Amino acid sequence: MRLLTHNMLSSNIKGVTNGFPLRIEVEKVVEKQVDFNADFLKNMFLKLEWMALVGASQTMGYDELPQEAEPSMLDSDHFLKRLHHALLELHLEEGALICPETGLRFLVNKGIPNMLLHEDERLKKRSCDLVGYPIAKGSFT
Amino acid sequence: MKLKQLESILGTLEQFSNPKIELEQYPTGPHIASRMLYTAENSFGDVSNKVVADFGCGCGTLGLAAALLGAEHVFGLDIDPQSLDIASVNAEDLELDMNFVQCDIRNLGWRGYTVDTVVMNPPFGTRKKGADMDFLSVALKVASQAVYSLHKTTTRNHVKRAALQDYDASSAEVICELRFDVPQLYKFHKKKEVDIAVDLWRFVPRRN
Repeated sequence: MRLLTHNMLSSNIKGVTNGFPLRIEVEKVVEKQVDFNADFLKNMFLKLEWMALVGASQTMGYDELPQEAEPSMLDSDHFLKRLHHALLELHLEEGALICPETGLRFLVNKGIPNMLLHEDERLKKRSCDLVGYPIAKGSFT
Repeated sequence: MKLKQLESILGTLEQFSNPKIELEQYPTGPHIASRMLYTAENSFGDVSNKVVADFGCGCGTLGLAAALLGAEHVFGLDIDPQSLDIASVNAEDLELDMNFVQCDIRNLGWRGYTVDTVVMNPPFGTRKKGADMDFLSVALKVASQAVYSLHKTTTRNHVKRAALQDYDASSAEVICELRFDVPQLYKFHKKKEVDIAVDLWRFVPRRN
């Protein structure tokens, strides 16, 4: 799973109002080179949630993106190369995506995130609804 | 790439080995898939250099057709893990790149307008009523440019009305009528092969 995908996915659990960005739990990251396309990056930049990308890439062990970014930076090849690497070349091969509100986990296997909520996760959600507070971070890890 | 070439490459793809009737898994044949994507590219410019999502991608035929026609990034979304496994193998065999997500299209958490074009061969809703319209409703929320979809010709008026009135499409046009051949896949199929009339639609979401 690329961080491009991560930047689009949000938690779809019923009742969750702020399901983005999903936190990342890393087991295995792989890097795969792809062709560099500056026009694509420039166009995509305007549609990205920058902070989510910066946070996700740090979690994946890549610290080269600036905390803040603005369109004028798109003239810099140096910046575009880093954006290219973070957005398209880093893959979460094994791990999980975690709903920021409920703490429920969506597993990533062989690079494919599974956004279906499994029955046991549903039950956890229900039990945390009953006690009336969100599940604390990391309580199921 | 020529239409014939596209069709023959798509003909090499592996299809469902154990199709699941509850998901209405019917492979999108190479004839129909090639025409769908070829039209999207050559008549409307909705494929090359675009971000394309294949909703209910199954074995990946439509998404891979988009990749073959030069889509910049392709997403393949499906609820069924076995289908995604086959789609991954198909992508590898063609040395193409597709971003897979296992999810229920009807309950999709998707942010923003990154996807330009959605292509899909949705479940026609013969098993689960309205399944194709659920897909269409989500597709029109995700796509920023166009949605290409197949629906049974018998539902034409209903599809048009729902797209324009309920899902706020700015246009909904039938591009052509095609024959979708349904091979004898399931036990309840009495005939060896039948074909049904389907419409290839192009919808434009309101934001455009």
